[in-house]
Amino acid sequence: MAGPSLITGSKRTRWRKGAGGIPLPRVGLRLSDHWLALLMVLPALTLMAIYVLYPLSQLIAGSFLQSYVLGQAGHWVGWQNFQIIWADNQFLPALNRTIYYTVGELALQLTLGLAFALLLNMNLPGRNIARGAVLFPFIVPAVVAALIWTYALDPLTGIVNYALISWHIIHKPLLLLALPSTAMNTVVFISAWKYIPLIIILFLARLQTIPVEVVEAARCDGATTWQVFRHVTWPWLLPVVMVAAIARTILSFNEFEMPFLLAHGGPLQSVTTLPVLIRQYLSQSVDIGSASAVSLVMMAILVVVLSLYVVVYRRGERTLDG
Amino acid sequence: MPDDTGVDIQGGLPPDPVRAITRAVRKQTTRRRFMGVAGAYMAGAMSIDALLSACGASPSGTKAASTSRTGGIRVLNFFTTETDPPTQANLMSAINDFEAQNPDAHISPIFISGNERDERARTGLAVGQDLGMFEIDRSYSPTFVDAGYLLPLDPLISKIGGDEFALGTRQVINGHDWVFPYGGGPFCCWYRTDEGSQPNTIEDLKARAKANTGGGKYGIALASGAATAVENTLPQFIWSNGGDYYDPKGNTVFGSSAVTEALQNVVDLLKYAPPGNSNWSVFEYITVYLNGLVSMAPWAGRLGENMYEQKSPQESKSSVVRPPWGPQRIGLTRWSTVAIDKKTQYPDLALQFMEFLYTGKSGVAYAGSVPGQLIPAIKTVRDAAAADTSNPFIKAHPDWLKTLYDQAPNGTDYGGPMGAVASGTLKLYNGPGAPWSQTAWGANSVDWQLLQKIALQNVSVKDAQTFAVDQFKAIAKDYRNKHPKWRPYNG
Repeated sequence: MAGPSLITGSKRTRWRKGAGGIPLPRVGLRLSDHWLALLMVLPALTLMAIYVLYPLSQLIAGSFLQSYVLGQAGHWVGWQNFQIIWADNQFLPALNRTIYYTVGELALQLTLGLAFALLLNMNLPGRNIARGAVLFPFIVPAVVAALIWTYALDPLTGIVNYALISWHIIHKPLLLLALPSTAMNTVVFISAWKYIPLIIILFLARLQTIPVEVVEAARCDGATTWQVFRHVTWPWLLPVVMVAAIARTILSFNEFEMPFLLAHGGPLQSVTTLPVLIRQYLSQSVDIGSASAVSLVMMAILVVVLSLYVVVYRRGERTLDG
Repeated sequence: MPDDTGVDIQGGLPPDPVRAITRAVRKQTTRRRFMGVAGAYMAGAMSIDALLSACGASPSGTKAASTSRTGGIRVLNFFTTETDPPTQANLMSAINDFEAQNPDAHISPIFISGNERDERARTGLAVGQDLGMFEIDRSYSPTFVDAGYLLPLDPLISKIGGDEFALGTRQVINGHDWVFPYGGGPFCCWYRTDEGSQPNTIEDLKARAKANTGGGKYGIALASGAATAVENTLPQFIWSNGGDYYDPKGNTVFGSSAVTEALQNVVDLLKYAPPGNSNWSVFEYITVYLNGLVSMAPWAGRLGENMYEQKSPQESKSSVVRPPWGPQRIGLTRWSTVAIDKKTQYPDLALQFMEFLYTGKSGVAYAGSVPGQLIPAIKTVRDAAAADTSNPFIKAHPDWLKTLYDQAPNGTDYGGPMGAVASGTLKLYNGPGAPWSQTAWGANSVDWQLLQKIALQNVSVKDAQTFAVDQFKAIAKDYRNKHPKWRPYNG
């Protein structure tokens, strides 16, 4: 026999157990599951509203206003800020550099990250020490990493040039961060060095969950090492690769620290990516409208790119399932 | 035996295991329990916050940076970038003295880095934070005055006497003083006495630079990038040669032959500068000189102070001479300035503390914390600071200090009076810099771009100059278009 419902959210009278198990009607504040769920997500929603939605609305509004003083109301100029940045001969080159930086960094991080993860997944001596040591670049703050590399690459006092000259590999110092032809690639390399550990951790964690029996079965069927990688390891890794690629695309596209700290925008602005350009608009001209417009364009580009990622990911999933 | 959730702890499953488990889970995390825990947590957090606030260590940055009356005490924030340990110690001592004289006052110093100073001030003012007394780059003052952020300092300036301040250090906008110039760092030429004679002309400079380049050493510390490194040197060569960027009305005068000649001088000297100078920060000037890698370095008093403090081997074989970059010998003198937030709760306290810190004995002591880098703008304080032989650094290098003190009023900067050298000689006045200073000489400065075109793209000096003239004109025109009410300083 069904007794009084104690199930939360029931539309019937709610009951509680009284002394001796006698059902008694509940009194006081009662919440249905629906309202309880809303209440529970309310803090998160509030924080999102404060830290995401409000700034976003300000950004969108700011890109249609002309304002030269922070905090003071600008006046409506429609699409003019977008026309200004489009006409500015810095915008398109900066966009190209941002794409170059993002793609370069992503390619380096994914390939080297995968290689290191596979290496660290093997049963080699000193593996545990190597797994710890490989984290070093990631735990070093970006400012410190930038300083380390700036000092290391210094043409006069840097250890890199000193070593290369001492070993007679080069005869005059390399000006890696001082020449427009090499500055961007150097920054890409250093930035990849800084963030590769994150990729390694992600890949390594996934590699360690590959079912041993699947690998053994493949080997029993005569699969070579490459075939095991191609048909077992890679499909297993793919979801994590996609997540890593998405995360790093967003972070690299928005990366400000390394291009700025290492090269201050670079000789002949060769490392002036869009985030650095935004700072220029803000700190130089206090042109909040143009800075907001560039930010909005960046966000739109990222939304498109990430949508493509999702489409590719789903297709990949379907192919694997099929 | 089943407990009250229906789960038999000791033996076997209850008759309805799903229901029993559901009940057990619900028992563990009931809404009532959740709300109770959440409430207790919030209450606890609020108590801790209240406790920390009462102890004066608020966990909230905004709170810490506000000015408030706490228990009858007037609190004034003071944002400063003067973080040299001796200057900090001096400031704290001055604050103690001030608070002893004013028991109802508390000065709360907030040390910030030079890099974040301007953005911090801009953001703080924009969001309505009470900045109290704060440093700003004086090139921002026209914008801040326009925005209504600053409190006029007329009562204090009048009390001290407007003529007491070195000419060009005050910034009179719309008939009022808005910033207080508390210390200047005059750029001069530091040189090694064991590597040639004192350079007094640009020709001396070139000859010395050439003679001392070779064998891993370089003639002069000079940069073609990045922007801040260039803006510390290139303008000095322009001014010293009688050139300028704009006239006092804001018309571009950068196309003059004096500027062409100055640019050529810089390009000639860059041949004797250390490699990699297209990506310098401001620190490299000091670093390469302290490391004995260059024979000369254009820098302000801090270089001498660093040699002295670090007991550098270069100290005993170095001297400093007024800028030999051109016949006018006009260096960069960057006057540091403080302002008062217009909406601060205790403007009188801010004015009172400003006077206390930068004048009289405190002013002399403050200037002596980094001698040669914080040269007072007020004449009486400057004279007293220059004669303060109790300071061991001044005692050790009176000749250095004399050169720096003599040079201080003979320099200008892009945040200073616009067009002070447009006539060919230095004619300082108490007006503001170009209001478009940050666009022209900021993070992507035109000077930097033009010098990189010459140094890295082999563009001729004349063509690079033409490019720069167009840029300077466009920047000024753009500003005027966006600020149609702007008028040049008219005295």
